[in-house]
Amino acid sequence: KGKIEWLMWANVLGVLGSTCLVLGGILGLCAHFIEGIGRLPVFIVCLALGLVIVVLEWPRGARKSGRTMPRAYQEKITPFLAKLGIVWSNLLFRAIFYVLVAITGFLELATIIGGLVMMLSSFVYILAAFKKETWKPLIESSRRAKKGQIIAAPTSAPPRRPNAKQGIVKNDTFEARSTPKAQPRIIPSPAPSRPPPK
Amino acid sequence: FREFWVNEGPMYTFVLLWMGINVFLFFLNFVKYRGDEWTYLRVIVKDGLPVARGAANVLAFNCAIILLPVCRNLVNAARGCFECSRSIRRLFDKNILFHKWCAYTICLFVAIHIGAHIFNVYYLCGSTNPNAALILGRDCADTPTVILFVSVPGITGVVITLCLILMVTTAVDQIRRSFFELFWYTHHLFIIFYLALMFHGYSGFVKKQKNFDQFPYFDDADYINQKMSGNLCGTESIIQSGLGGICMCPKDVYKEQVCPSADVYQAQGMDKGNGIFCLSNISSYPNVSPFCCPCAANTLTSDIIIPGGPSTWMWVIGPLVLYLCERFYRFFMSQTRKLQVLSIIKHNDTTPVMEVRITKVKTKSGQYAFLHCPSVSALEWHPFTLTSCPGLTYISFHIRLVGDWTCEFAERCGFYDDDVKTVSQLPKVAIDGPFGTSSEDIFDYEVGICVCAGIGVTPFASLLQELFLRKFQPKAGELLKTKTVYFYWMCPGFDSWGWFSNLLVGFEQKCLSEGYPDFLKARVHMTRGWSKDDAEKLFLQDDSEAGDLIVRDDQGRGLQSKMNFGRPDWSKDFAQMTVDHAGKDIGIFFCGPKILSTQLHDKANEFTDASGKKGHKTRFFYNKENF
Repeated sequence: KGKIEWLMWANVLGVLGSTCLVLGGILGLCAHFIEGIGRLPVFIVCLALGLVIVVLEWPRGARKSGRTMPRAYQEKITPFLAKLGIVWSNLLFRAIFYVLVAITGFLELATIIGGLVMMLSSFVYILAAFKKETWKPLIESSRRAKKGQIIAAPTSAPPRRPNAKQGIVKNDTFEARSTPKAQPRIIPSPAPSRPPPK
Repeated sequence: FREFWVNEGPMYTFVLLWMGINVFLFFLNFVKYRGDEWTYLRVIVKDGLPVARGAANVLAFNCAIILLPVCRNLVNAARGCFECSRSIRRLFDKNILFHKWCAYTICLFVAIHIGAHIFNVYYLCGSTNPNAALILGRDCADTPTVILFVSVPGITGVVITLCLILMVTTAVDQIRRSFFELFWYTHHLFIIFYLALMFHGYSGFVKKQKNFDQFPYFDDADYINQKMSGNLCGTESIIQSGLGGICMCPKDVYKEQVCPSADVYQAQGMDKGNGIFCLSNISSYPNVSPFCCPCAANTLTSDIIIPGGPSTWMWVIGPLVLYLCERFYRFFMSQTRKLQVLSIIKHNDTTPVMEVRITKVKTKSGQYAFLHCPSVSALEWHPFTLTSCPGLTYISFHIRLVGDWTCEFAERCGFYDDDVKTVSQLPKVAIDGPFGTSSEDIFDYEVGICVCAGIGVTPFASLLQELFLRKFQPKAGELLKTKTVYFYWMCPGFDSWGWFSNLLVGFEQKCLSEGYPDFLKARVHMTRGWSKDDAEKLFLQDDSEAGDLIVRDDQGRGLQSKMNFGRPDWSKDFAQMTVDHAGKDIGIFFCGPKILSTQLHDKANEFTDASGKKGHKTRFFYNKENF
């Protein structure tokens, strides 16, 4: 528990990087059409790649342990990614792809930030791949539905023993449910009291 | 809206003030860099310059103040300074939120700044204007990408952006909550960030034209005629001084090559001189800019421009030093103040809980502190809420043994051993803090509502103890404003929080025995209803007259208040409180998950009555624990 899953960070970097590519591509296109500066094909390719990657990176994968906070609407994209199979679940493929994307970004100043972040994302993906992490689709629909569901209040009080006064059974059901490594002693904590004035 | 204002007024006033300063700073620099001294540069890079400089100003301001809310000792001290004003003190509870808002602002303006400068560099490199090379300090043949990596602002800018990206991406909720170490160590890139930031403007990239009053440049002929009364030749001294004229042409004039040659100018009776020529008959060249000069000396020379000085360091140096002092102070305290663990108490709940009692330091109730045990981990600090109150001879923490650090710590304390360790065998710990949170304010309200869910109960353990000491064993001259305390406790199961239910039962009995049955109104909600197991337990323990449970299983004491199942009906309860405590200020104190927090916050605003006559309005003040 508590082991860092690098995949999660690489995913955040991927989303940010592709967003930067999109923004840089738009900026470059504006610059190109208004003032005729920059190389048009680079901007178009970066914009397109950015748009594709932001969609692909949007769904978070399932964590090995602990809960994953899904991004909004990610359940619509996840099934498609799951169909991609090893191309998407093996992180090395992605890392290599992102290096190529990053190099495309480096060709123009406007997209260079996007390229840098994609490069970072790629590095972290390689790290994650070396740690034997893989992308798994997050299927959480059942758990989420359960979470939002309101459990109706019980209509009746719990059953009572007919003759409660006599024959106290040792409450071993209670004891049995709580088993730490070793059974700690229970010391009654005293009620708070102010120390006597000095 | 007025209801809303009671709760949120001070905060939004502050936010508006801060946003106002941001907007002001942006336009201050925006207007400044549209000034005449930078005209020569703006001709090449257009309005990218003022936009970038405006954003830079906002960035400098935010980079400075982003450090202040994370100076915990400073915030704590500031909270102490405002003992008198509750509404100002409540602002300090939002310190981390403010830190985040500053961060968002920085991200936004970094994007604007970079975007504007991308245009600037493209224009400079693409410009055929001979001045561009001088401004860049190198040959324009370089591509924009090369410029980025060889100029001082370029390379520091890359470093700053990289640091920012790493810090921001690891600070998103999912990463921060899951892998705190990653977030924590990456956030220390702030040192490189600030170093690079201070050198960002070091080379004085943005230069000002010194002799603007003598050689102005405008690309608007009408404006120059108006400003210079149509004749610049009158100034004899300029001609004699022999300075090269810095005449510049708009880009399009250069491009289309409409500038007449020098001979043409001379033929028209213009005096070439030392690059100076008359403006008097410029009107005969309608398509030519008045300063489209035919002379060879139409480039800037380094002695007539003033490099802009770096100014960001002046903004950030103060807060940076303050923050470093803070960090040093924390380190110093952790090294010098080693506290002895006095005893540990084992609580047998679903997750084992260890109560650690430590040598007393000065605290207030409801505060939290960072615990550090050198023998467990050399670097880790973990925040815990104090569960002891100032009146006791020790400070205590209740630690749920769920993570690897806590379990390891429990091991060192001998939690799993049967024999009791002596004090000398127990480890020493260092604490950082204690730091204040909002719940200290409960003593200022006549009616207090404490709402907690799950682990959020810890600050209230301390708070209720303090409250009871003040109520039933008051020190001389100590006045307790609080009359009634509602205590809502939401927990999933019966036996998860044995240690606290013991405490609660104790409090309730104390209330009864001292004759204040209305002082504490405990409402326990079992949010998951009752299961078969719970029914079994009820069945087995149903031998006390008290009726409902939380029962201390060794003594059979029960909680007097009725146990509730499901979630509380806030609207109903709040409505009842406005009737019961009409005209009072009610403080709500919450510690728990965000969804419930939002819900309570809305209810507090909804039921606050700001319209009535003075003395007849009930006001709910919402406070949330956070750290």
